[in-house]
Amino acid sequence: MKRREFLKLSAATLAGAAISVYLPAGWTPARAADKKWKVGFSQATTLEPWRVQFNKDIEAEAKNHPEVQLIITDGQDKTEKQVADVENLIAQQVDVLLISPKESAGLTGVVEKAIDAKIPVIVLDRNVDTKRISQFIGGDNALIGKAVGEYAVKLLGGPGKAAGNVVEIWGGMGTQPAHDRHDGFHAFTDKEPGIKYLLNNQSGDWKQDKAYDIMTTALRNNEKIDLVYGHNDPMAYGAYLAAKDAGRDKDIKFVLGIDGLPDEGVTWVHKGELTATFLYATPGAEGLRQAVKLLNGEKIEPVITLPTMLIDKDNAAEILKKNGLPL
Amino acid sequence: MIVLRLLSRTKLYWGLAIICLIGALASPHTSSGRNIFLSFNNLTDVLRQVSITGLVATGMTLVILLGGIDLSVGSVMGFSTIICAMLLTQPGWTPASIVAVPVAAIAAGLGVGFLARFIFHGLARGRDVDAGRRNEVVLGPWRGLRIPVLLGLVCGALVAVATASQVSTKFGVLAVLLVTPCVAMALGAINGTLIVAGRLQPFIATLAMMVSALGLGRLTAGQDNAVIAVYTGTNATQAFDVLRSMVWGILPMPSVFFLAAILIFGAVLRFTTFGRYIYAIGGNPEAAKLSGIKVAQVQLAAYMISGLLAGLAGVLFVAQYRQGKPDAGSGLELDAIAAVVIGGTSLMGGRGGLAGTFVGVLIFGLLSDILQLQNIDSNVQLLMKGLIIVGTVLVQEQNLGQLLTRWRGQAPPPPTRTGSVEAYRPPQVNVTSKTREDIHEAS
Amino acid sequence: MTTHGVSIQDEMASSVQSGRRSSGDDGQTSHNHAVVLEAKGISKTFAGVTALRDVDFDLRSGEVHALMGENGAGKSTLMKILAGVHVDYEGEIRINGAPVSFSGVRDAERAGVAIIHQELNLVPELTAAENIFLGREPLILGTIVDHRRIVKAASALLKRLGIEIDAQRRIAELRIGEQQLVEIAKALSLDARILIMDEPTSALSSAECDTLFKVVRQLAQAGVAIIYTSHRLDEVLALANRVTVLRDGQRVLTAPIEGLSQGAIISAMVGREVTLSRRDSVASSSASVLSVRNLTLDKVSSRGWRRVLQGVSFDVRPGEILGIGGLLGSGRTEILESIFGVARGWRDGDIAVDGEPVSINSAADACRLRVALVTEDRKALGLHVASTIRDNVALPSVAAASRFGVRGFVREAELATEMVEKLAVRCYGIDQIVATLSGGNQQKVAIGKWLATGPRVLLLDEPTRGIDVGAKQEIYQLIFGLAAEGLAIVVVTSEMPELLLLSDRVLVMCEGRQTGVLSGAEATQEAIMRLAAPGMSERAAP
Repeated sequence: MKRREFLKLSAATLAGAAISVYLPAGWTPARAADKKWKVGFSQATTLEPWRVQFNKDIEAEAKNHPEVQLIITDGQDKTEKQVADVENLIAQQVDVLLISPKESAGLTGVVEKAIDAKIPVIVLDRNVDTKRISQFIGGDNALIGKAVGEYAVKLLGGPGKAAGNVVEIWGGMGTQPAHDRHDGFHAFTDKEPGIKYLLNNQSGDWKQDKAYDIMTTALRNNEKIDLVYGHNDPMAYGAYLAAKDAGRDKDIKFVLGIDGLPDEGVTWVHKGELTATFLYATPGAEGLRQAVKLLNGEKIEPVITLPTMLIDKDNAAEILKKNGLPL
Repeated sequence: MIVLRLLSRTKLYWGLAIICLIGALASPHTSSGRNIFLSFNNLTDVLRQVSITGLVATGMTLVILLGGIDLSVGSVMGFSTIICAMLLTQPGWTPASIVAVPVAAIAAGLGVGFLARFIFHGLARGRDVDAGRRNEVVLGPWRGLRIPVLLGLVCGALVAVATASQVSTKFGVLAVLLVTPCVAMALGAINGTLIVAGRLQPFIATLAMMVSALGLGRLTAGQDNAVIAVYTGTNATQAFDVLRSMVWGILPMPSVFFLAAILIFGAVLRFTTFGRYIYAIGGNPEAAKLSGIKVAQVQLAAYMISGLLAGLAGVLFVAQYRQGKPDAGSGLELDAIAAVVIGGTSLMGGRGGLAGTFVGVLIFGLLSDILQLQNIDSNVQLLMKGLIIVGTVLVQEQNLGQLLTRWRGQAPPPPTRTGSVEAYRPPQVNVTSKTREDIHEAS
Repeated sequence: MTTHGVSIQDEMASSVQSGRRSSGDDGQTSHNHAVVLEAKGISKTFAGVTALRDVDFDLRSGEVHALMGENGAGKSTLMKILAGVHVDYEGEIRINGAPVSFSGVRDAERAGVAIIHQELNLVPELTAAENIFLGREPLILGTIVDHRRIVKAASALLKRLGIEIDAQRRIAELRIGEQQLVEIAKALSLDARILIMDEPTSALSSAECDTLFKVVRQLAQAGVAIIYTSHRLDEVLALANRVTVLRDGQRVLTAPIEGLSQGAIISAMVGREVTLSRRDSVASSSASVLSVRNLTLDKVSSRGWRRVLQGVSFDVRPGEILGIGGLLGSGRTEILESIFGVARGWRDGDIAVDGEPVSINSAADACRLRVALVTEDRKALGLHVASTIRDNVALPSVAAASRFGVRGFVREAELATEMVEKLAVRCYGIDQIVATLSGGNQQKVAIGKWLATGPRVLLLDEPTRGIDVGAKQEIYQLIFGLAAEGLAIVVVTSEMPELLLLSDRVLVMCEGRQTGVLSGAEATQEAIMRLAAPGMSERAAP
């Protein structure tokens, strides 16, 4: 008797406290069906800054289309959760499904299920293993990797003459983007005899703190490091911090990353902490635009590759200004 | 045989020594011929890197000794990084400060109140024992309750005012260092209450907290932020860097916290009644309760300590990696449990201690360092760490003893603590051959 | 079930049916049946310690042969050798004249020797029927277990033994006494002709003991030979045909039960004269130190609320020993638990210590008021068996011995040494692990733990359970000594001789109600049993 009462009381208190503190922060009540189109978007996770930006972009774009009701779900970085989310959206009978899958194989089945339910699917950022989707929008990680590789060769002395010690910090080794960014980079740098790779498959799992630790040991082990390549900006920045803490940030000539988010990579490039970063645009806004086109009956291309762009000291300031961020 | 017994007792330290040896031998060298592994910088790096896990493992040791477990430390640590980062970088009444200020005030108030009552009790008992009364401690209403409550209220109010004043500007180092662990301790108190009053199993209660704290962290940070970046000097006070500095040029600051925690709680376990109660409850909870120990209070305190240390670890994380994020501690609970188990503490409770945890944490850290220096593939590193856990647990005391016994085919002698039998003469009552059989028959 | 097994049951069935329950003849006459087991010159050594030295032993068919001796005298060792548990020994064993040398327990079972250990070998989650046939289940088509046959066979077996237990009930749901009977059924289904029972009655209520004795007598009459150990002398005198006493690994006495007195047996076991008699009533004039009024306890069970205690009231004065008697389940332990504050359930009533009404809701409260409880189950509840004597004895006093939270190690060691000396605990030193002590010494440590706190009221629950006769005497002396020092003592015990010996007054419980308080000359066995029995039926003294 005592235990049950206690549990009821505590549940009520906790719920009450949570609601009162956090109500403004996170609840969007479902709006009435006054809209013409229902668009469902299944996001893989929102624990990464890039994906937060991704969601922000698509929500901003949705404001430009008042006839669209946008429903966003969060897969919390779990394949099973994302599958359940998609099934939920199918049950809600969305008119079109946008999805950024956590990984390809596990989400293919449910994407096909949506297609079978006559819901067109637009896949964003990472692809799935079926050709029946209406469209794929994403950056081409291999292309970006190549761009980085080419740029790195240029920095280190030019094609044929490039020389230096390179530290590469991988993203999550189970993900396709990491492999693409790795392969693209090496397509250029492997051709240079003077370039040496110091690390052997060390993964920072896309995280700043893990990259920091890896770089600390790399600094311990190697006296001369010329270039650091992190598969994303947070990792590149983590490597920079490690070098700074060890007092060797001036010794490392170049630090390269990928993502190019205004409040992260671009800011760091502007401050001189990263040498350069390459834009990996979020397909959010474009995805919604394409979805609206599809719903209006227009034809859309099967693949849209988002272009990348080099962001270095020269254009960083301008990008920050455009985004309203302090210089 | 004595040699074997001695070896067995100190085998944990031998394990550490062997790992150091392997590291030194296999270490790469600098161009000037210096051994990298043994270099001062490398060793202090390792010490710094293990400090965060080590702090959490210290709290975990207490909880495991009690016979419980705390799966929530990783998420609580992650939540703490968010609280810390937000307090440092965001002025005004953010969700973080709304939570932090009242909790800190309550914690301070209760803490001071209990301390006052404890001191009065101690003084009173001293007087009673001298007067020949055992176990009865009678305090008048003033000393007993009113003064501590008064003191507590006063202190709580002071702290509330002090922290609230820091809200409009951003928080300073000391404030963040004191307030964040209080918030984490509050989460630990929730764990403890669920386990004690709600009578939930520790596994379940802390599992629920693990999931909740993650969500709480996300909500506190807000939808717009996955990560809260801390730039000391720009959006946070420069003084915060002190938590990353080297103390006296030898010890990294995080390791000072870690070593302090080990020493303080090691002393608590060994020399205080609280520590004794922890071992008693872990050994046999029913018997402990029937012996007059207030089991509920001890359990609550242990989970609160676990939370506190996780909070402290969170602050150190923010200092080192300049960011707060809700999943900063994902996987941390398992690393902590592994370190505790390698250190010889039994998951059943009642056996083990912090010396073992300290060595376990170091072994893990040094191992990672060696693998990293050898440039071994990340995936292979994970595999090897798993093998090490299994290997060390197999070699632990119970199993080694049993293995030896099976080889030699005889019953082990009655276990006593070596060296202390001589100190006490057995009472001269009927010590005949029947005694030995008595004892043998029962074993 | 083999044909041989069937024949035992048939014999027993026929003996039951023909009503041949010779009452006065209950195995008291000496049987001139054939010697079915003969052991000569048995010796066994464990790691340098001699457990048995040149012991001869013989067993006749159809007799109940009691094996007695203190703990450590070698009884278990002998029984285990006979049952094939120990295969490495000196000496010779013959069964039905033919020498045998068992290679293991299975081997012995095949030869018809079965042992029932004190710790029952039953799987709690399985049913009684499944346990009886564990490892020998009849199979359909060689692969699937034939549950129906198992249940049928088990039910038949239990019925023939006169045991009223549903074969399909899980062991975990049965009471200890019923579990023991299932073990016997299991042994019998193995067609044992020689049954060895190690302390079968230590955990049984008197009703269950009666059932057990009935079964034992039936078996004896059917020709099964039974070796039986017990610490309860009155049982042995009632049941056995012959007695063998072991002491220090040697046989000191084998004789038929007639003409053998309790005192003679005890002397043989202990090697010295032991007589303890009741002490003279202490007429104490001081005020009562413990007053209980209208104690009521309700427990929740699967069937709803159950009133376990109703209106219990009594006083205990300093220096007085109050015994609480009654049948198992009459609420005696619950009285002690209620006073100590650890009773599960809703409690009502008034308790006063030294005249002041107090509210005791936890062991910690009781400790503070210097009320101590030595629980029934010392291994699981009373002691930390994996810890040292010092740690155990000092535990309730740790806070008292400390200053500002820091433990007083010296004081703790002093307390432990004091208790070890005062209670004459046989050990190597206070750093010995409690698990390695004998039962009697463990109990002394359990008592010592509470004595160290300087209690004014000492509650003892079954203080000599599982303890051999010599140690029992020591504990009785100890209790008398403590009472003489001024402690108020309340003792709950199921052993009538003990109850009669120790108590100045006896409070009798029956089904949760207090049926009477007897003092002095009124407290006789008959009076107590009359008050303890529901429905007040007459009971014949054995």
